[in-house]
Amino acid sequence: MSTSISGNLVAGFDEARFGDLVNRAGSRESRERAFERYRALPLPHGQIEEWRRTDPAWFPFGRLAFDPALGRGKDGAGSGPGDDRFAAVVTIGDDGMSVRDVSGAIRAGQLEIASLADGEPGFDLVQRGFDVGVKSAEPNKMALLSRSFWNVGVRVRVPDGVELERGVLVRSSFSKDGSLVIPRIAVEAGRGSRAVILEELSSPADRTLLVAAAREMWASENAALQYVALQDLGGQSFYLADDRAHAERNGRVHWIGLNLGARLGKMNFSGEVAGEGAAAELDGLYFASGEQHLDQRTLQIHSAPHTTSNLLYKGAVRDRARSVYQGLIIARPGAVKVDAYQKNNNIVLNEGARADSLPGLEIDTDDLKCSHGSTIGNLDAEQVFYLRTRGMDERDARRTLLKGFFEEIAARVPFEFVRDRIERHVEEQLGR
Amino acid sequence: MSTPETPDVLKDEYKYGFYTDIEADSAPKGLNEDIIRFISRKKGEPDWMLEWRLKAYRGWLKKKEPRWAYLDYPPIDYQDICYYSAPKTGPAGEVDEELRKTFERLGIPLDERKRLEGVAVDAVFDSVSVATTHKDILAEKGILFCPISEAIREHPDLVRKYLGSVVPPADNFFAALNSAVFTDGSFCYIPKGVRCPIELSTYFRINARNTGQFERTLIVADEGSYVSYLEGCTAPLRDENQLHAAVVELIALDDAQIKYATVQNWYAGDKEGRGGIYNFVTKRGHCRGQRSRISWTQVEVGSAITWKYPGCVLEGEHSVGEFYSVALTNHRMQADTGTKMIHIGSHTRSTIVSKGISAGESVNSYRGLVQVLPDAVGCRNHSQCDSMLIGDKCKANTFPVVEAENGSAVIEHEATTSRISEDQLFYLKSRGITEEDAVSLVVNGFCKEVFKQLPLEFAVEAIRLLELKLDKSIG
Repeated sequence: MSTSISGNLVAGFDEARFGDLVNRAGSRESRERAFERYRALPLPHGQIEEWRRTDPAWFPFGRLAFDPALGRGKDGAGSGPGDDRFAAVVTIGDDGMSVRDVSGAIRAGQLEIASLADGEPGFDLVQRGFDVGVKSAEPNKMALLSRSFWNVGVRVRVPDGVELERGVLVRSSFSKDGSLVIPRIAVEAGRGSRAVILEELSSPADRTLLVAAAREMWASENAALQYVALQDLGGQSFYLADDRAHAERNGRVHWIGLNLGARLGKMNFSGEVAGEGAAAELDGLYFASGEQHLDQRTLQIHSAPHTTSNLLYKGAVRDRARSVYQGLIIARPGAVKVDAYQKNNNIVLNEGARADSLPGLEIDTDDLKCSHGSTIGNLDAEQVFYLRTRGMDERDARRTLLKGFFEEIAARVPFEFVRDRIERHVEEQLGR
Repeated sequence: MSTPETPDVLKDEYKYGFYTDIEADSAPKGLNEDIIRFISRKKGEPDWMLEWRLKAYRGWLKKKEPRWAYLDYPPIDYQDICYYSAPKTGPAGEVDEELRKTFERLGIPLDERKRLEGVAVDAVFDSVSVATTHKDILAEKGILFCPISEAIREHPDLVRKYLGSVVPPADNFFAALNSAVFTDGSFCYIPKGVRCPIELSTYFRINARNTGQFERTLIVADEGSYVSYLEGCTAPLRDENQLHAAVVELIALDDAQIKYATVQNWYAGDKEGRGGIYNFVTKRGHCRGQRSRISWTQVEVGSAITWKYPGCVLEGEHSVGEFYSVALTNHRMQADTGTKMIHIGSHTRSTIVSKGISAGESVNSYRGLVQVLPDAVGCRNHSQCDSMLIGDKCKANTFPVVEAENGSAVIEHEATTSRISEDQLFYLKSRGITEEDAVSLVVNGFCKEVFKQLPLEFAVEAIRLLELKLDKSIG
């Protein structure tokens, strides 16, 4: 079977590298579990529906340098403006990860942040993906690659009953030209706790690098966990993501995925509402221009009765850019009284840009309500006309309408400076 | 396995499940170039047709059976199927007495006297067409409506021009198989500016054991013409699975309109999933001319396996494609069906309305594609796919694909899946309506948008069919 690991895609990610990495980076057990599955799976190729629109060979695995263990940088380093708005700041960069206890929450036992190399989280969402027993929910080769080979990892845990007043900022910033990083972030919200995580992912515009991120979010019983991921990589960067969320009984997960940057991105999100009364809110925003190509896939898995999930992904494309959205709602046997919704709206700003939308339902039980809706179109000509009769010029009118289109998602982000960032991005894009 | 007898319970569920004991003229089992030559000779075909078939066959040998659909069935042994079976008839021009009775039991009188008012019928029994009615009325208008094998002999120029131009033999595995061995089906040509005064209809019946039916239908509507076409299908109850792989091609030139309706009621197998027809169908309409219009309406209530995506290629500017579908699955039936709308011409529009009903332990999937090509300006699509679930062991899936390569397209897609409404059932029952009638009423309302596309007699028939199929699946 080992011959299956060849070709461009995962070039270099083989037994030899794995052996070297496990000896140096720790977490042997979970890595080995993932690697075994990884080896057995065939390479993704354009014949699989999931990869039909984004060729896996576009990711230049073979040409990039990979450092098996980035280790741990100096704690307290890497501060930025506005850090005091957060309880703690985690910095992930070319030389590893570091933690800054801004508000003293860590010292006070209100928050635990550690390197993943020092200990695994108490849950395994990749294994869970296989346990669910639904073929389309099984983690793919890329998900397993990041769980076998991650070279920098952080674990955040909010203890039972703690309601964190301020959020945790994870600042991931990479700038080494020709490098490949696999950051893995695992967040656990203990019983009845509340936590907000904001992750900012960036790289300089002129560096070619690949970030293959893996995120795991776990909301225990009665916990509320919000995770905002702002991806604003440079125009030469490649981005892969495999994100998994899980909510136990009466737990809530709110995911906001903001994708503004990267030359090529393939993002996979899988959320399972696994306990009775659990809920998932899934929001996504993407804006692709120039030659950008952003491909996202989402799964909403209902495996318990009385669960809800509500997904809204909104995106715009302009110039020669292309976006792909694939979504699937899965209701497993026994998941009765389920309410699931999935909506994907796309604005195609000019001819030559392209948006594909593939919503889907896979229903295995009868007592539920599932629906999806998807739209693709340009900005409404009548609305543009209306604004122009009020004295706005065409460009302003279009900008206003697009801001309005994104507002539905932006308004749900609990950080003002992130909302401003989205607005600025729209203005920069349409101001040109 | 060998007796065609069926238990009483099943009889009232599938009343078309009888078998007609009729002497048949069949080809030996299996598929090779000699069998294709045999079929072609039986049909008295010209050489070019035989060559066409052989080319398709050689292409088929290189193809792999598609397995991407949400279907689960054992491998099909293509060498264990008889590719040609014809009832032995008496003197030319006369319909065999047994055959006439068969079609009468199916509700299709072939006698001149009792003909269906206003509907011309072409009846296909296993591999051959047995009778076409109303030929005189059609001839007056210059409309050609005849079995395709007759058309190949008598109108070779038209057939050569259009056959395979919408679904080429190399299109897919089943289309290639059909192109190699197709036996009968209808050919219809509506001349310029003619509005076909009556409904055209073909009735397909599989009778012989171990026989596959490979029908081929070709409908050409010349400039400014109109035709409405209906197709019905049944088969006897049998323990083993039978294969049906059809190809239907529709061509609409400038300003022409074709309405194509199917009531598919092939035998679906029994409650445990034994027997039933494997229905692998390629149907495609080509709006070749400007302002042309093709509309598909299908009521799918039969077949153990359904694999069918009637689509429209909207090439002519301002052309319109429509797809209305009701697909009901019960017991162990599996259906993977939907449509494709390919917008090539500018200002083309398409509408998709799909209603899926799953009951028992069945699996019902909608799979659709709406594609707008880069040069197509101002296209519009609206899709609505609803699924209703009856019982907790059934599955309903929706897999729509929307690809907009032109920024001016406006595309909307909506889908819902839910259980049959308890509130509505309760309300109806509180008015003294029995549970079964209440379910039937709610289902009818759910499918109304599709049924209203059917001609009246067929709409009534379709509603009755649904009632029959859902009977005993409640409670």
